Amino acid sequence: MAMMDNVDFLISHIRNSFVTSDDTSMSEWVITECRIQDEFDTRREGNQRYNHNNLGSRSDSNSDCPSDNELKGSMDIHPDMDFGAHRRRSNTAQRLDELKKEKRNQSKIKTIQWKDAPETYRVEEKGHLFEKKDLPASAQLDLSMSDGATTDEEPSDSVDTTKQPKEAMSNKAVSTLSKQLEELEIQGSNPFFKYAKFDGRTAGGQSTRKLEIFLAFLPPEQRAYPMTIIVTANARAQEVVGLVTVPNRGFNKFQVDSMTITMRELMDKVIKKRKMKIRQGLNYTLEKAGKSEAGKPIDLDSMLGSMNCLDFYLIRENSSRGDIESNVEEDQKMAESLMSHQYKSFHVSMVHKLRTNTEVQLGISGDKIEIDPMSVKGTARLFRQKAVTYDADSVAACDISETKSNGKAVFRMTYLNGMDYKHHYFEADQAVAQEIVEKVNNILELKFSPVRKEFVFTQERKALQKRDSIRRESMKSSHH
Amino acid sequence: MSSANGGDPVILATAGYDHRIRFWQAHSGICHRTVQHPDSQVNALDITPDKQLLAAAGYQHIRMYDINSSSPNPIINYEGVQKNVTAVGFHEDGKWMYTGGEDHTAKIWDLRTRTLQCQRIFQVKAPVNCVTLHPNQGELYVGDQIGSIHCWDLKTDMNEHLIPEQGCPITSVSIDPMGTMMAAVNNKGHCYLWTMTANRPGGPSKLHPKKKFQAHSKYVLKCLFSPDSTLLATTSADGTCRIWRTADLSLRTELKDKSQRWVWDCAFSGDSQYIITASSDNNARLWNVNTGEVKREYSGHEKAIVCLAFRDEVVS
Repeated sequence: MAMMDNVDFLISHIRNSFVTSDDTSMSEWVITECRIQDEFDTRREGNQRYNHNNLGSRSDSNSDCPSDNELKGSMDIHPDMDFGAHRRRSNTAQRLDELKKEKRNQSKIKTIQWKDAPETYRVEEKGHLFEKKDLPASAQLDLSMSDGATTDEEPSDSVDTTKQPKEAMSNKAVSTLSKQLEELEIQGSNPFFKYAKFDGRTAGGQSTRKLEIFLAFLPPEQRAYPMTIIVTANARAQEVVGLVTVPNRGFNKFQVDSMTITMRELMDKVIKKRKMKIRQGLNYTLEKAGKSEAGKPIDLDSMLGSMNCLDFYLIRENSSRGDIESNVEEDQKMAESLMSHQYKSFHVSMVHKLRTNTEVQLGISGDKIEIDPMSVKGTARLFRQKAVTYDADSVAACDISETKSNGKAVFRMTYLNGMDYKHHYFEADQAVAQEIVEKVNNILELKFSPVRKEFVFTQERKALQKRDSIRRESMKSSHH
Repeated sequence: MSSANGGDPVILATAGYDHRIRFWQAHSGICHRTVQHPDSQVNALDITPDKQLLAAAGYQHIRMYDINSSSPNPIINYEGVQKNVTAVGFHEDGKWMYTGGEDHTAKIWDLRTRTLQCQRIFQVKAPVNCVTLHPNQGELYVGDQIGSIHCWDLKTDMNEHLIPEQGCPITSVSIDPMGTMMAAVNNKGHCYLWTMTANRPGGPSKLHPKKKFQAHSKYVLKCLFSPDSTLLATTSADGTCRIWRTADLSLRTELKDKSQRWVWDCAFSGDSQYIITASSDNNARLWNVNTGEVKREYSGHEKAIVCLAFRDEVVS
């Protein structure tokens, strides 16, 4: 039986009592938060108990420590499943979050309350605010009765023309919409437009999925680029394919803040997005989509709103649509850095201080780095490397530490373990080592996690200190 | 009324029961923006005369969205209304906004200042279904649930009402842009037509009953004159939109689609050649008025579309 001096038992007991008698569920919210902290402490202490022979225990009666079940507390609280970053929030916490978010949005919204007019309406005072406008037709009807008493009346000679707009409108008038429809008809519309509704970028709060799609039919230098599309969650595979076909070769879609953006700004956006290098003497221009518009550059200082078109081709001056020229080497580099977050595994040897190298498989992706031992027959069980995984966010650095004459290279991976930086050394062919180091560094650069930041900062500080101390040394020696 | 502000000359927005408002490129059928309308369905939409803001009338709120931004949230929220707001519209110079609601009132909201100069309220005996502003900008026509059409002269504050059919809710009222005709529809499928005259400048309009006819076999939800005043569109619970010639009230075209359900709202293109309809089958459609064929479908909403706002320009 548990003694009353057992802290763990008491905490558990208090929790149970609270949860079963609390209707507001506030206690659940508070306790769930504490519990995780406590569990963490308990676990650490458990280790201490194990390590230091019970010196740090919170209970005198550790020998009859209550069973796990008692420690788990209420059945209504299940924080253990979601421990860590994706811990499930309690209803109250979620509700509070929603309220907070709403409040934040609200603060940007101007709210105007209905208020009755301060005094009753009187024609003499406010009649001028609700003056009627003379309509052409009624003006004509009323002509005979007009006595000129109203000052803001149209001059009577306008009456002759009033009948005309009506006829003109029914015969000749064309609206912007009709024009646009006609233009689209001539151009021929994209038959895949019907799939545009699955585009998640305009879904406005609907759940969406982000997909990166590699198009195998593209020329090799473009094949390496994934095409990112965002689809609504309700889209079926067939519809995803449809959406992929909407963006054609080298397609970028932009959300612009307003239709007043000039075409030049738009072009700059495209160039930036595509990471194109503008060489001197090379100018780019835009053409409207549609065959009939080919070879007709548009005025870059006009506004998007005046274009009646939302699809454009980016064309280099003195060239035409259809010819693709690109710097293959550069493209590949770019593709590599884009793809660095994708999983790739390497076969390397892990270097140990006191024993022979072991063969491992090094798996690198944007999220984590895995070290898996390769099973080699005859290796003594004792020396077998354990499989470990490091979160990419805990990796601080990766660099080549030694290049050997036999064509191999040793590289070092630095990671944060608790409070200390630790290293793993690996050996591989120089080319492989180079590739791994580049890949890991690409990831580190993209993520720039706090660990990486801290490490870079420390390194810089160390370098500074070193320089300072050298300077001091040299000053000292010059004094002597 | 031109695109001097640099915005798109053509604006189409649709909304309904899925708590979202979608903006479409009218001619291609592509949705280019979706905004949230939290907590309630949208009952009515309208665009300010300067084409800067979209007003959405919902339960207890009228929310304003910036048409030329990409923000998913409204920028102004008008509140303090008891129940559903069922109608919204604007004075042609943007001086004030009018609304109608289930709280038995039509209201005028001052938009320009905070001085509440224009603030007005008009009380009726039943929930307001529709509010229409006469093109002369000085008279509001309010249709209610017990079958009355109230003519409220804003300047003189005088009002009179007429009851085309006792006890049959008026669902929609339309006045042609020339101010010479008025149409009203009810839940029995009937359409009433009046000719309108102003017996002296600035004076109240006079209504002369012209014709009553069965426009649909079921509930009619909306009636609307074309910009050139030659056509009258009626939309109905029978799944069709019918286009009538105003000259003799003969049927010009019936707009029908197998999958179409209740047709709630409609809007003509600036040249009266096309009409856009909103339906309970989650789609809006663009039809050619002359041929009756569907030119575009605007699909993306997840629930019924019950209202739309559309602006077009006449270019020549």
